[in-house]
Amino acid sequence: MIEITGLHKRYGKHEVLADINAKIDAGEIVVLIGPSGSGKSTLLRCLNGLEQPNGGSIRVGTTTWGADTPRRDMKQVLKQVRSRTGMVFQQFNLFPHMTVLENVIEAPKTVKGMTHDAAVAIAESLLAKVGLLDKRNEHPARLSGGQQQRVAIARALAMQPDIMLFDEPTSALDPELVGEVLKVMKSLADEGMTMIVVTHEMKFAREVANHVIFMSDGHIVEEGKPEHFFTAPKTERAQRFLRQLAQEE
Amino acid sequence: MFNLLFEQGNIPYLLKGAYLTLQLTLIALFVGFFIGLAVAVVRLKGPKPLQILAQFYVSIIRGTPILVQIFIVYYGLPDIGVSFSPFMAACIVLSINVSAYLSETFRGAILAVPRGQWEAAASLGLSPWQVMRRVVLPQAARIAIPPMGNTAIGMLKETSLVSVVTATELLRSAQLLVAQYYVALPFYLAIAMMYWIMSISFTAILNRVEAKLAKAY
Ligand SMILES: Nc1ncnc2c1ncn2[C@@H]1O[C@H](COP(=O)(O)OP(=O)(O)OP(=O)(O)O)[C@@H](O)[C@H]1O
Ligand SMILES: [Mg+2]
Repeated sequence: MIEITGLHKRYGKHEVLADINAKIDAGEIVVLIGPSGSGKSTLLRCLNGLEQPNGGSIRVGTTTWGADTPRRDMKQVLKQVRSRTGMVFQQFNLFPHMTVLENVIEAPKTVKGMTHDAAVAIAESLLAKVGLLDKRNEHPARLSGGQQQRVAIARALAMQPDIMLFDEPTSALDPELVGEVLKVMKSLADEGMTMIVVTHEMKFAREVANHVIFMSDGHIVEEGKPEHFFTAPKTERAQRFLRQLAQEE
Repeated sequence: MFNLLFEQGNIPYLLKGAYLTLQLTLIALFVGFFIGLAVAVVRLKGPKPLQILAQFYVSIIRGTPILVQIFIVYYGLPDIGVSFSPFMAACIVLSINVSAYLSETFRGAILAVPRGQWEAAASLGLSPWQVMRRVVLPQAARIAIPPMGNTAIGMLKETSLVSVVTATELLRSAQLLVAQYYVALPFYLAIAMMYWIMSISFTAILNRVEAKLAKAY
């Protein structure tokens, strides 16, 4: 479903992604972990077309692009890629001038040209799913962080993507609000959604993921099944990272 | 001396001038709003050559006195066969002028909308233009309103400059009365009062709009 081949991304001289290769099948739940600055967000953002690669290529579904895809073709590429992938950000990024419902129906109406009624029907079922139907007419500022993030998930799902990308969806939340967001993500996983999740929630990674990718300094240093990776990491770098993480908790 | 002010028809005459001033201000703000918005968007998101052109436009308008601009349009352009009535010339110059200042306001406001908003909208598949129209501009509008109010009040006062091309706005109405009676103080004081009343009305309207916006989210 996703294939990343020899992906490079630089900011100036700084090589943020150095030769990333990965393949993700439909229905897989991939957890992406690694120290701060290792390039996890950049990788997700490349998959969604928010960053343009400097080398290599990316395939999402049947759409392939890379560093030398001409600008005029990128428009079409972005349209296709973004219709297949939904993205959830650390800072939620809900539209503050719209109500919860308006946030969720915005893209189906504006991008897909869906009628208002059809969009509302989808939005309501998604808001019910994330447990926030009663907040439909509130503005985001009146919601807790956990509620905002659940709306953001509903908003991304409203475009009916095949793949969901999560960039540290619970990192900005108070600890007591983390669970409600992870629960929604877990139920998505149970429904068979393909997901790539950047997270430091080890419990989630162990229980929900079927593949772990560990990144450091723009490289994939180690990857494998969570039960292997977390109990017996092979590389020294991963061992050190997991030790540090355990200490913090 | 002050009785002159209340002689037959003088106050209505000044009020007519005030009306023209108000008209000029509103027209300039209205036209300048749209030009300013277009210039701001082009400067931020347009093709490179247009960006430079827009920047040049703003720089020239802001870097030259409004009085000189009025002279060019009213006295200068007829040399190449383009002439306007005093009122029309005043409208053109003031609109262009206000557009340059507003475009800076809008540009700042657009840049103040957090990056995450652009990215979230783009990631949902909105085209750059849809991101701008549906997500960024509504938020930028809110940021731009207080400085826009200041520009509006500034414009109200700048309109007095067009009196030099015989557009009979408030200042020129007073000048004509002064020339008729050879007494200045009552008339100038009267129009100062009128400018002031219009200014504080603008401010009051603005404060209400701001209060309303502050509540909405
Ligand atoms: N727009 C940018 N311009 C320049 N450098 C950037 C930019 N975005 C990211 N970087 C740099 O790229 C590197 C990787 O950043 P990235 O955000 O992908 O890391 P990350 O693994 O997501 O880290 P974190 O866990 O802190 O979120 C960092 O060193 C960062 O400073
Ligand atoms: Mg990150």
